[in-house]
Amino acid sequence: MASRRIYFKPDNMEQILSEFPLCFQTPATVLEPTEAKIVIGTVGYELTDEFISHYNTFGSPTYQDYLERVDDTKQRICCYLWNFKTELINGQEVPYLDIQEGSPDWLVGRAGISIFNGNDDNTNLIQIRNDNNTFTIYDTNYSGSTLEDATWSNHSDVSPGFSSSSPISNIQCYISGRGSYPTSLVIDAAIPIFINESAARHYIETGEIQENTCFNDAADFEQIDTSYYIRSWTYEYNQYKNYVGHDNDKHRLDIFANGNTIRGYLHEGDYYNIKLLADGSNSMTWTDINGNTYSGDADTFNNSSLANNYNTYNQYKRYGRSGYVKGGWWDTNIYIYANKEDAEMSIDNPESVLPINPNDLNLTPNPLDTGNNVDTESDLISQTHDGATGLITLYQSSSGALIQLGNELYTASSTLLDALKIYGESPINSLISVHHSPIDIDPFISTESTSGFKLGSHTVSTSGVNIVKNYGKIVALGSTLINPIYNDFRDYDNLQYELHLPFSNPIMLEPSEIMGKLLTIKATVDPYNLQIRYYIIINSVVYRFIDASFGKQIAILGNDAAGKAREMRQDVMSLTSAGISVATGLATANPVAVGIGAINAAGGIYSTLEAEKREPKKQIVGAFANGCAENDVLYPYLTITETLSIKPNNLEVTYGRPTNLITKLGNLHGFVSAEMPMLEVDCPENEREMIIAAISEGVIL
Amino acid sequence: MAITVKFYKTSSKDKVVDKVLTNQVTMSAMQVKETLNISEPVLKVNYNAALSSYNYAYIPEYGRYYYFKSAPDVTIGHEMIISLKIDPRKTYATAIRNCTAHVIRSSSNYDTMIPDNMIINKVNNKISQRKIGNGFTRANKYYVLIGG
Repeated sequence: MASRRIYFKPDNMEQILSEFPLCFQTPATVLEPTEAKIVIGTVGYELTDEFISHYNTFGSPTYQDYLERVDDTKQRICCYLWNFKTELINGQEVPYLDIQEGSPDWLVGRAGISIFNGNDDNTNLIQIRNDNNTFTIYDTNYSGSTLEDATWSNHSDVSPGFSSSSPISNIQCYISGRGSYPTSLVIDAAIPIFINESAARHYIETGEIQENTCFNDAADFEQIDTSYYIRSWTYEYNQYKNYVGHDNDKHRLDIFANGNTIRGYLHEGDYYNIKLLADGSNSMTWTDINGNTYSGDADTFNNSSLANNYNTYNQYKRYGRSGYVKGGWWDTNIYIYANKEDAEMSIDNPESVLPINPNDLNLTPNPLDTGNNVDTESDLISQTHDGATGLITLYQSSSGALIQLGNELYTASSTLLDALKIYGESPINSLISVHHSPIDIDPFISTESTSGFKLGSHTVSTSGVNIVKNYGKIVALGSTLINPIYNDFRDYDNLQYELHLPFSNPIMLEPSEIMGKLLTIKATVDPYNLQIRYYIIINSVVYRFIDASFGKQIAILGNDAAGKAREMRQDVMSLTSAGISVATGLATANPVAVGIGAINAAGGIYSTLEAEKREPKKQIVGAFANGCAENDVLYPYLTITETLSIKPNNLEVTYGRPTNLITKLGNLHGFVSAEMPMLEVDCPENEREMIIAAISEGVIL
Repeated sequence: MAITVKFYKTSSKDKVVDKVLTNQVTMSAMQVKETLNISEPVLKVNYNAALSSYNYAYIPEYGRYYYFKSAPDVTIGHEMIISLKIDPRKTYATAIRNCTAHVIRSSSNYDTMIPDNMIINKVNNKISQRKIGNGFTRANKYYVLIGG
C-alpha cells in the first residue's frame, strides 16, 4: 500500500500544515512566557469523539502550567522535536512521519517533544516550576461533534490523568491504529519549537534562531523588543522661530509593552504634540522619569497623561496661532506617524505607511547589547576637592594685595626672614607659583575670606585676599539646540559645525551626532594651574571633553642665586606644565602631585641650564601654552557653515523623493518609480516589458 | 472584421495611471492590414472631423487603452486611418497597483534622509555664528600658591 513521507522541517511548513492542520498553530511567546502550553497527541474525533494519547502541560488548578525565571539573566525557554524517526538529508537528521494511504489515511511512526533542558535539573533556565509535573497526560474520553470541539484548546482545564513525583522533560505519543489520522495530530506549544536539541540550545544561549530550525514564524520573535522609550523636553518658539522658553523638566517615558505595539502620531497645534498609541491585548507597564511605574491595558495607557501630555516632536510644529514647539531633548524608538489615521493603519499593516522618523530609531537587532543604560550627564556631578591648605595654600588675590605681598618679600625684615628659614636664602622661595586669571572662576571654586597671606609663621596683612578652600564644581556654560534646516539629508551633508571654546582650538562636531539634539557645554576648573576641562554634552550624553589652559603664569624674580634658579625652574615648568597637568594633575586632583610631577620632569632641563648658566629658550609647544591665553572670546560659540543647494520646486510632486520601500504600489500615491516589480498579470511578454518599463520610468498613482 | 472603438480626449500626463477621459465617441472601425497588432493597431473609421482633436481610445474587445500615435490620416475615400499604441499604465492599472516592487522614488512615503541627486549643491557657502550661553566674566585676579 502506498505511503508518503512528511519531513518535519521549517521550510516544509506548507506541506506539514496541509497534512497536519492542528500542528504548530500557537504563536510563540518569547518575552518572559508564563505558560508552556505544550501539547502532543492525537484527537480521535473521527471515530469515537474522544482524545487519545493526549499529553499536555496544561495541568489543573492543582498542577498548573507555570513557568518561572530562576534568575534575572535567563530569559528564554523553548522545546524541540524529540524521538521522531529521522532521515539523514544533506548532513542533517530530519524528523519525519509517514502517512499510509487508505480510507482514510493513517499515520505511522512516533512523535515526541522535549522541553529544553540545558541542565538536567533545569536550574539554568526559565523552567516549569519544580513542584509541578512538567508534563501531564490526559486520556479521558471527551465527546465532541467536530474536530474543533474535541481539540485541547477548548478543554485546557482538564485534570491530568497521570502524575509523577518528579518533572518529566520528554513526552511522546505512539502513533498507530485507532484515531491516528493526520488531521488529528496535535503538536503545539506557546513557546518556540525547534527541530532538534542543538538548535534549541543555540537559541537558549544566544537568542539567535538558526536558519530553518524553528517552526515558529520569525515575526513571533520580533516581539522580544517590546521595550519602548521616548525622551523629550519641550521648547517653545515664536512665529520667527526665535526661542521663547522651555519646560523646567525633561520628560522620559519607558514602556514595557509586553508584546503590545506602541506607535505615536503628531497632533499639530498642541504644545505636547506627540500622542502615543498602544495596541494589543496584553497588560503593560510604563515608568516616568521619576521612577513612578503604572500598569494597565492598552486603553488605560492610551488615555494616560504620560501618553498624551508630555511628548514633543523634534522638529518645529505649529503651536497656537503664531508659534512653534519642538522637542529639545528628543529621542525615541517609537515610530511616529504624521497623524492618528496613519498610526492606526501602521498597526494593522506596517508596510502601508512610513513613519516620519524612520531614522531616529535604534535599529539594534536582537539580542540586545548587554549592559545598562546610563545618563552620563546626570552622572557628571560636581565634586568637592579640598584645597591642600596648610601644606600649601592657594590664595585668590587682587593686584593691590599682590603688590603689598611683593613689597614685604623684597624688603624682607629680619622677623620675616626668621619666619621663612625653612625656604632658604630668599623669602621669594616661599612662593610656589603665581598665576593671573583673566576670567572669574568663582563659580568653579569655593573661597574663604582671610586677612592676608601667611608666610611661614609670618602674616602679611592685607585686604582683597581669599583662600581657595575647595574646587571641582561642574558649571553649565550654556546650551543650544542644533536645529535641522532642511529636514532632509542636506542637514547632514551640507552643514558643518565648528565649536569654539574659550582658550581652546576649535573642534569640528559631526552633524550626524548633533543634528536635532541639544548641545550643552559644561566645565570644571583646576585653580592651581588654571586649567579648564570642557565637557561637550549631546542630549545628556557626555560626547567628549577638551582640556585647555588659560591665564598667565608669572615668573617670580629672585634677588639672589637661588631665586634666579627658581625663576628658571618656573619658566621651564610653564613650558611643560600643560602636558604634565593633564597627565597628572587632573587625574589625581592633587596639586602637590602636579608640582612634584612638573619639578621632576623639569629637573633634567634645569640641571643643564644650571651647568651652562644661560636662560632657557622659551617656545610655545602645542595649542595654548601658559601665558598665551590671556585674551580670547570668553563665551562658547558655534560656527555653522552651510553649503547652499538648489532643490527644484515641486520636486516631491513631480519626481518624488528617494525611498527604499518594498511594498505594493497601490499603497502609494502620486509619482512612483520602482524596480524589480513582482507582476501578476495575464498579458503578453512585450506588454509585460512595457509595464515594467513604465513602472521604472515612473507612474502617477 | 468590424470592431467597436471608444475614442476620448485626455489631457492627463502620460505617466498618470488613471487618466481622465472625456468626450467619448463610439465608432465602428476596420483593421487596415491583414494582420492586426493588438499592441499597436492601425484602424480605419469613417471620416469624422472631430476625431482630429482626439488622442485616446479604448477597444473593449481587446480590453486595452491606446494613445493616438499621431493625428489621423484622411484617405481619398473619405476615411480616417488611426494608428494607436497601447497605454500599459491605464490598461494594466489594477496589476500595477497590486504589484509589489522596490520603490526608488515616491511622492508619498519617501525618506528625506536618503541623498537625492536631483538636489544639487552650489559652490558658495553661508557662514553664521551662534553664541552658546554667556560664557565667562572678564576678571583680573591672581592665584598665589604659597608653601605653608
